[in-house]
Amino acid sequence: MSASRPLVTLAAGALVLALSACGLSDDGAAADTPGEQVLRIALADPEASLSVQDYTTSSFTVLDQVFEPLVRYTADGSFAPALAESFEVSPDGLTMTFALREGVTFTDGTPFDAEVARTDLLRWVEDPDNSFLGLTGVTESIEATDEATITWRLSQPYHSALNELALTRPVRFTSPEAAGEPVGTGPYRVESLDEQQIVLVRNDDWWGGTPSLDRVEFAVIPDAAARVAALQAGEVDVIGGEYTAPLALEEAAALEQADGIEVLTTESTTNLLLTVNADTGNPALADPAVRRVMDLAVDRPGIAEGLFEGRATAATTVFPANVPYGPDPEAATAADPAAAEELLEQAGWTGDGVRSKDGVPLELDLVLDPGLLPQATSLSQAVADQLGDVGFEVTITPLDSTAYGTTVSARDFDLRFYNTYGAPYDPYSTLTANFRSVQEGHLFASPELDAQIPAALAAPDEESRQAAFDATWTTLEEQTAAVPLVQLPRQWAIRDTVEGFELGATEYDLPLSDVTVSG
Amino acid sequence: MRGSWVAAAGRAAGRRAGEGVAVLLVVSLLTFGLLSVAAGDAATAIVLARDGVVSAEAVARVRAELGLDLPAPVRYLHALEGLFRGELGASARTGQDVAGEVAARLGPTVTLATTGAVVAVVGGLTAGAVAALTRRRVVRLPIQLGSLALLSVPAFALAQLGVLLFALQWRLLPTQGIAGWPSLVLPAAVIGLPLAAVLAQVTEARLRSTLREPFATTARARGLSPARVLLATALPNAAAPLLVVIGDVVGTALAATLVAETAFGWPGLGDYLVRALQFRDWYPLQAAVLIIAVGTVSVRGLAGSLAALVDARAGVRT
Repeated sequence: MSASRPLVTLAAGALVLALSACGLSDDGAAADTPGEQVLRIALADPEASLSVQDYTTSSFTVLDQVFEPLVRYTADGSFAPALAESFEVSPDGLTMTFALREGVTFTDGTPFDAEVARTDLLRWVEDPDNSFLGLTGVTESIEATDEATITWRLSQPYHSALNELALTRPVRFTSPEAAGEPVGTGPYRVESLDEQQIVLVRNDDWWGGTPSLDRVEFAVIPDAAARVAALQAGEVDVIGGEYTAPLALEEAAALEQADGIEVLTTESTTNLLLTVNADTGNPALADPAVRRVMDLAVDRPGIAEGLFEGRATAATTVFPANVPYGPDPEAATAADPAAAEELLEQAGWTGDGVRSKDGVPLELDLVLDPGLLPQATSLSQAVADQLGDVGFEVTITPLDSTAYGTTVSARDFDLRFYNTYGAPYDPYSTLTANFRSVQEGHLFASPELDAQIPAALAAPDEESRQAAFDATWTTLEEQTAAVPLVQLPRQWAIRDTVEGFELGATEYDLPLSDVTVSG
Repeated sequence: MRGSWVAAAGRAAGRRAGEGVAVLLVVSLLTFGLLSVAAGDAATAIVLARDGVVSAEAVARVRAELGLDLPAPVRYLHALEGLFRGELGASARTGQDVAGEVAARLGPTVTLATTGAVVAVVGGLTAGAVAALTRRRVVRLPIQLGSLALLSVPAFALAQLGVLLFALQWRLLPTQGIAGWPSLVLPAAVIGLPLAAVLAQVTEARLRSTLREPFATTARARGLSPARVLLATALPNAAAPLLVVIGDVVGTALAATLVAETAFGWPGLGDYLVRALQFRDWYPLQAAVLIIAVGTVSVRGLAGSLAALVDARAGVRT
């Protein structure tokens, strides 16, 4: 009998320890006061801090509640006033004048005026880390002409200036007194932030009126399946969004059948591409015929239907047609393996099995980070099969995020997937950052694109601008700068107790000042 | 007589402690070695998180700031030396002291591992004993099938199944998160039940063979009830080997929190470890790995020592 006592003691001790430890975990769920309007949104990744002054915070939709820009991008590609009540670009395109909204204060009470705005603008405009933003290169001067006017002079016309001013990081305004704390002018301010949740509360002094919600709680749920379950169980009200809590396509289909849940789907402005490393990858990729063949061999409609459950649409151009000055849409056609093989024969790539030319085999390494795109693994297998059918051999290398970033930055790969940035960056920023040889991390570059892209951005009027962009689209297609795959939809899901919820103009924005929650 | 077995148990404990330290050193060295050969380092991860792309010069700058440009053995010994002084270092990802971060994450993990272990030990011993005591198929068959099923279902599937039934279908428990005892039930079950199944099978087999020993027959002949025979003679005799298995089970429960924390969104050590690994962040990784290893090694050591103690006492009595 006595010998079993240690066992019992051990078990009893463990039980006491477990039960006592339970008590400490209750503070995670703050009790909601009855009658309070609280919206709970899932967030995939915790944030250590919230800042628009650098690139460390990637929860854009959280930042959007707290920090505001001069102008906001709208769904039709035009701009709406935000902290600038009105704005004007001179006919020569060299002077931008912003009339600032008066009486705006940061949530710490600091007034937002022209001098504060000017200092905060210069913070990022003068920082070489932000060179991917064209404004850093063409800004001549930023002046506070009076208390409520900013006059911005440029050395040359720069068409996407307003797009850049509508971005989240690094351009939105932080209080000069913030000292590292997240203090902006937006409809909500930060109450608390930890690894489990970010709690925002209403900014009663917001210039845009009284926001409808008392609190917005972003609950960190890293696992995609757990997010769907949390929505179904009513633990959160909203999931989805590329930069918030991504909702997988196949899960959206199941959620549409679920009671009390509404799935919101809209067209995105981003295309998923298969990009080729023509500079330092397999020398075969420098042959335009090989790239053209890849374009012919990939079965886009099949991928859109089979892998993305018909929720994605086949992409035929590098940029989707719905970006400003976008390319004309083309009808997607199924793969043409016969034409692809014929083209390879003509270009001298011959042999049974894996084709080769001058001792260079068509062996390609496709690197991917499954964390970036849930369908990456199945998509890579489909692409490898389709290219395999016409004489390529594609090796798939899955990597974690750090290894992927390292490999991509070292340009030590042949193929990878890439999502274009989407509005409000596109087409300007994706073109500038990814298709010019001066950018170290470019996807593809050629002398033609090096000349055409700056020309398009500096074009003085609508007509010449459209013509310059059209020339760029033609080059991207003729040179097969990338193999377009599909245009993925923007997907969110909400509980039917949420009213007035509308998707932002971009995946980086989420307007919540008019949302209410019933029941 | 009494003094000698205490001394023997003491010597065994001392030997185990020595072995434990050796195991920890090997674990730490292996972890560092694997991290060193993985593509990318903390500097790359920082630049990636900050700029989206990495340039060689930006990485070199960060590397110099963090002292990552020193040779790997120097960095390892530096970290080890700090460890002996009781310093856990700072996280490259957050810039915070690892000691504070780990302290905040220890609570959820200890709660989860302990509860899981209690489920495993109590459930496993009870089911095993019940199955050993009876010949009735109505009792034994469900226990045997149940443990077989629990052993063959992967932890992730068990978690999903639990969420589907208890959170979505019957609305009894939350799907995830860490808020009060209801949120503890599913993760503890996911950790504890498969281990309980292992323990139940071992317990049943052990008790059955012990019940066939002559002294058990004698006890029954003296008129003791089957339950008393089990508790008074079979269990003490089977205790030593069972304690070793229990040590394994509790140690595994600690490691199993890794999966459960991911599936149920518990911000514990497992989640911390995974993030540290993805970021190639040595100090947090070292702390998390060592804490889990210390827990596992000491629980097993403790169980081993207890087994030695119980065994010796059983020996004295015969």
